[in-house]
Amino acid sequence: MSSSTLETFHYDNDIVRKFGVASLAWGLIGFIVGLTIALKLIWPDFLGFIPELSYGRLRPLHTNAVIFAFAGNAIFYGVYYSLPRLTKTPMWSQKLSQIHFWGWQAIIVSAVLTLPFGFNTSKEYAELEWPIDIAITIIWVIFGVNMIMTIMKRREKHLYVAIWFYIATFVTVAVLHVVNSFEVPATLLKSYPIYAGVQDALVQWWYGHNAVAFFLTTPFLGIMYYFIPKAANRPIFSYRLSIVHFWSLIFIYIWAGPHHLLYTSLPGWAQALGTVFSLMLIAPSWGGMLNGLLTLRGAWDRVREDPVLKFLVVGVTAYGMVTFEGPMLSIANVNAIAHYSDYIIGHVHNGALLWNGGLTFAMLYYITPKIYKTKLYSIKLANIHFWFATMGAIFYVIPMYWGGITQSLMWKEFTAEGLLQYPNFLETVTQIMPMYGLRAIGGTLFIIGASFGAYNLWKTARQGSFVHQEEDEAQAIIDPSAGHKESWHRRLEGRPLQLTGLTLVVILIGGIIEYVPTALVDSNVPTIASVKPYTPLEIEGRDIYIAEGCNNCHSQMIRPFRSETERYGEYSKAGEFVYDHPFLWGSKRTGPDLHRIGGKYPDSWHVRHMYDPTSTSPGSIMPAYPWMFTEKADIESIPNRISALRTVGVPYVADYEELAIRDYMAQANNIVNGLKENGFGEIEGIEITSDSKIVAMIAYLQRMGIDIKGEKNPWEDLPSNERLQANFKPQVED
Amino acid sequence: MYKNVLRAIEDIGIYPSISLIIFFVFFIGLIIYLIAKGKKHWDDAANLPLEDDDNLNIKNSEQ
Repeated sequence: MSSSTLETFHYDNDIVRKFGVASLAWGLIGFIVGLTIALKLIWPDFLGFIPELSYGRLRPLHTNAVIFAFAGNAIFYGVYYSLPRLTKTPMWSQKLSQIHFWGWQAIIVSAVLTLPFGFNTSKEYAELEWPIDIAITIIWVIFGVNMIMTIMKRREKHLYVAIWFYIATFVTVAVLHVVNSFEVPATLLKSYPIYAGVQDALVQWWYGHNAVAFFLTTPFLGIMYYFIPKAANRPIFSYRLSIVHFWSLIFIYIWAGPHHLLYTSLPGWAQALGTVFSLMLIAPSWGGMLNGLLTLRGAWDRVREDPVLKFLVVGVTAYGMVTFEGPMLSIANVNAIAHYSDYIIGHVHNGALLWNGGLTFAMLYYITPKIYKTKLYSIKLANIHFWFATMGAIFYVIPMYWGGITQSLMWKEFTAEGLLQYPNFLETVTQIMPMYGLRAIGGTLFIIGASFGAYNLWKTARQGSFVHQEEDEAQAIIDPSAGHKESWHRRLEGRPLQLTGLTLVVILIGGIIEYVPTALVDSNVPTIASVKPYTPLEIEGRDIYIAEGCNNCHSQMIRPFRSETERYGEYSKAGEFVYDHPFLWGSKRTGPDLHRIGGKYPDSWHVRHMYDPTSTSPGSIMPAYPWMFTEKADIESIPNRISALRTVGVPYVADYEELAIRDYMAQANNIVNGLKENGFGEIEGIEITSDSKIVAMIAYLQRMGIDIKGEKNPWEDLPSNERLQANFKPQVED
Repeated sequence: MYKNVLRAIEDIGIYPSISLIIFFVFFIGLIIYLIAKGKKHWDDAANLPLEDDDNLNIKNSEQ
């Protein structure tokens, strides 16, 4: 390389530092929120019954903080550090970098300002409401433009494998986010997805699964491919393996979403596809893991001393464990036991704490001394952090495995007479309470470790001097696309646009084939004539159910097992959910399934139970909802919501908006009168009024899962019934 | 309307099989290609992360 053609340029370390600080700060907050809700499962009255701090509202805040604030900022931290150094050019636009940073933080702040206040879509890891969805799209595109343009302006012709993973991340997350966020706004902070029931479930878990794949996996694999060679100071074990790893991983991953919906009402062919591709997924996942670990062959002695390598190794090892578990959990009969249980909570924390957490802390320990031109303040303290993190994760994960399997087997246990051994769900909860305790200890250890890490990094920064703009020099490349003599994959690696295009094609194949038939072909969702849309009061009740995050602990999907039909009633049918915008099947049973709760208990039971769950269910760990008795329901926006629901396909008659509030009040008055007759006109001195939230909630709970019985038309007693009848009947076309 | 268009496609079930076959052909082809090209072909690419000042210094000091 002749020095005469060398160009000098500067890497922007400012933006790198910003994302690092943000990742660490939000991470600590996200972990603490996690610990808070873990404690709430042990002591439901911990922090009192404040609506904004209730379990159902904080759980989405915890998951969003960890995924999008902690891991998200960590991704950008890694990309903004490694991409310029791999392409030998600064980020294309410092201005876009800044907009990206502040925009992303603003999105996180808006999550903090909406989720605890009950504004959420109920869709896991996509809970943020529509205005924030739009903001995410804009900021994500800004990130993508900045990244692609940096690649276009590069001085190194060849795109290293880490960059392919970054590109796949950008492209796929964009597609996932947009497709899963098709929703019709009803008010400023309330929307309904255009999909209903089975379709909504399929799209959501196609998104949810691939958010894990392309937000928590591919960017971190890119990070692995850059930082393991850097930390070990040797090239990746096999570059050829990384090529196979990349293409097979992104192709196969996108198909595996339906493994979240085994034994549900999702059509069988989609479940089968999900299982097969999930099993295949183990090959590229383990190929990647081994590629990372084998890079360290002959250098394992250094792992003993270097905290960066320690975190990388434990991270990649956890990745191997989690990607082994994933396919195993996708096998139907394993899934039958693990699904809805705490096993899954253990599984995801194995990934989040050690894989994402491990790689993030490895980066923080690697980059911070570099950009401050100093050494790590204390290697000893970093090693202590490492052990706290590892032991914390072990104390978290193992009790969850243990508790999850224990509880699941108790759900399925029958006596010799053929009756459920534990007919009371609560028995299975109290059984695993010690595991919840251990989990909280594990979480605490992890947080203590992370705090040591934060202190260590802060001291490192204090003792060094920050290099805002780091100088480097490289030769310019004349024509990035030249090189016709090269083999085709080498050529592709020098052509970012073609690479991006091919990546898009590869990830779209699985998405389209799985999603299009279910989304568009009506016959995939059998229609049941007796299933009717929700009444206005039930809509409000359902929206309160969503706002309170009830779906975080209660499923609405009874699988076709005898243990479930005995416990809950008739198994759930696809056709029962055609008006469910969004679907609320849930993914975890901290409490029992609610799909057949309608009619199971009298209204007065729900009054007592919601006011104080332990009054009807001694020992219950469900939080109380006293505010539902004092807060007024949102009746005003009912017409807007009827309009939005009609837009997404619920067949309310034209102008029903004008009749809706009258129907609302009639149904609410009926419930209140019934309660009064039974001596429940008030509870603990609080009068139950027709416009209170609890009445809407009761209406929804009593409606759930009863249509299929065809015993009573839910609209029968409403003033508008006769006008509506004609419109609701002709649902069956064939 | 577009629903009917899609419903009109006959044997739509074969599409997943076709895409799977395409993937496998690509996958097998890729492996054959990578084996044929040999390990050395990718050495410079694999060394990309290591090409910066720090490591140059380390290399120099080792020599």
